[in-house]
Amino acid sequence: MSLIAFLGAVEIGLIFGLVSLGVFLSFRVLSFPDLTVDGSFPLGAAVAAALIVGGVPPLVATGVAVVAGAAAGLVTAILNVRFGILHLLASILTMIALYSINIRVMGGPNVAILQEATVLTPFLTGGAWAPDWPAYVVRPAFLAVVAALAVVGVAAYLASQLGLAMRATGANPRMARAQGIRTGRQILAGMALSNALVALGGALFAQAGGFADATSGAGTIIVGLAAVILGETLMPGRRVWVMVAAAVVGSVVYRIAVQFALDIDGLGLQASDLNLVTAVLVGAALILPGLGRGRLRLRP
Amino acid sequence: MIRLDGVAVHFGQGTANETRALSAVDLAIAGGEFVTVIGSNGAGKSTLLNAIAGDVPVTGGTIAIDARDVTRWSPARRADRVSRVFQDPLAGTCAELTVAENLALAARRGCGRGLRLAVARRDRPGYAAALERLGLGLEDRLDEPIGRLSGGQRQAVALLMATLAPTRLLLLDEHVAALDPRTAALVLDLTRRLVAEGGLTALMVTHAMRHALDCGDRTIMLHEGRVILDIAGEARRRTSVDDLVARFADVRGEALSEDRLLLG
Repeated sequence: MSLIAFLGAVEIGLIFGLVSLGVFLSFRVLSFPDLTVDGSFPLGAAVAAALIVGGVPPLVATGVAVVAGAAAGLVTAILNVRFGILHLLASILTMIALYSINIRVMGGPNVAILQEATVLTPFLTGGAWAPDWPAYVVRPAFLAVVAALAVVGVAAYLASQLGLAMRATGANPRMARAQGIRTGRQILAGMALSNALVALGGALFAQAGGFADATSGAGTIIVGLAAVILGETLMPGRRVWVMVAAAVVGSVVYRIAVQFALDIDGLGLQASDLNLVTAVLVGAALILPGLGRGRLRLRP
Repeated sequence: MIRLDGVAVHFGQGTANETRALSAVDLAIAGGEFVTVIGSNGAGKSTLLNAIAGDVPVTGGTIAIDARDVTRWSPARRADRVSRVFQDPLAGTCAELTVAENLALAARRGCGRGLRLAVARRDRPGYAAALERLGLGLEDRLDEPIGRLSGGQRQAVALLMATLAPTRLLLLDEHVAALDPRTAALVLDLTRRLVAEGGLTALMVTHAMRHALDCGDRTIMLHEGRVILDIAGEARRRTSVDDLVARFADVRGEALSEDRLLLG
């Protein structure tokens, strides 16, 4: 594998590290299987790209994309908490609604921003803070800083009194309520935070790649989940910091592994096989622990 | 002071399967009183506790705590004045959180929660000291997930958690029923100690008549959603387990004869 391909994998891994942080919050912390991310990832990309094309400063555009993602998460949470719709179904409703919304936001199925200034521009050749590095190094370095900040932020939140209340809400809601925690509010906050992170990933994906596409969200949830599961395997531990960092590490390792697999000619894989490989990986990761515990051996 | 006026809980109201779990319960519990609740299955004991905690909406009547009407309050809102221990030893704690984290959750019951570190270094000696009083050696296991503790140990911690922050009423729902006899005795003993030390007001449901008479200073018996016996003081001291059993048989017999009348 070439250095450029490797760093490209790291770059995508870090972007999707933000997605897996979001998935970690919904699936692991809140026990809320949330498919909204398949819509909020392209939503972040669409909002950022559309605003950048419209002349809005990239930092502001990214901020608005994050807020849009939070709003999408809130919609799913409200459908579930306030109106009692099953969490999975609520998230699918938001997800399919977002498909239409994203196309409206972009005024079409995709937007190119290759020629526009992005949050990365100041660090690229000719920019105000440009280091003397090629773009394929600058991009992952910038994203590593963003991902590290996100890890610190999420971990610090989960270690706080409010974060502990959120973890209790996902782990044992009845007990949480008995301790005075308003579980409905915790779900709203957690889902907003989760989808805000995913939309940030989408906004950076669009800016690093130079385009936004309404179909780029398909399978986001599974990719995020694969990263979370891989991270848990690579970095087992119950400390909040470890669990949060593991989500991003898992995402990066996953992308590098995928890149390796695609590079091996003997396997004959092509880029479009990625979804199949991911599904098989996640399926195996979900089945194997059960086998280990002898759950399946009980059958005669 | 806890006051229930005509509290009724009907499940499946308006349907053919409507059941009256509680019908017009009047009950006043003075501050510092330790009341035990007995009754056969389906008598409404758990429903009574769930109604007071807010887990079950009442169909009629009012519930007041310190003269404040809380009838329509959510369980979370009531939590600043009502704490509870569930029957299931696994229900009162979060398995994946550490012992210290569980205690930290309970320590802020009824307080606001903010962005401060949940388990601060300066809180730890206090948690360790509280655990030490349980006499189970848990003070050295603050950072272990509580799921690794036995059911009895977890129930003891749940009990401690319910008394960690100030509470106006401690609700105990058959909290030793799922434990082995030795652990049950230990947790029950702990209950008496914590209630006495804190001067707490408590309402304890039990299916063991012995516990009902040995603990606390007042006993009520529920039958078909009504309070049919309410004894305290001298009358209670003179009451034996046999008396309670006889009383049980009495009400059952009555119910039976009523059925006979209807069927005959």
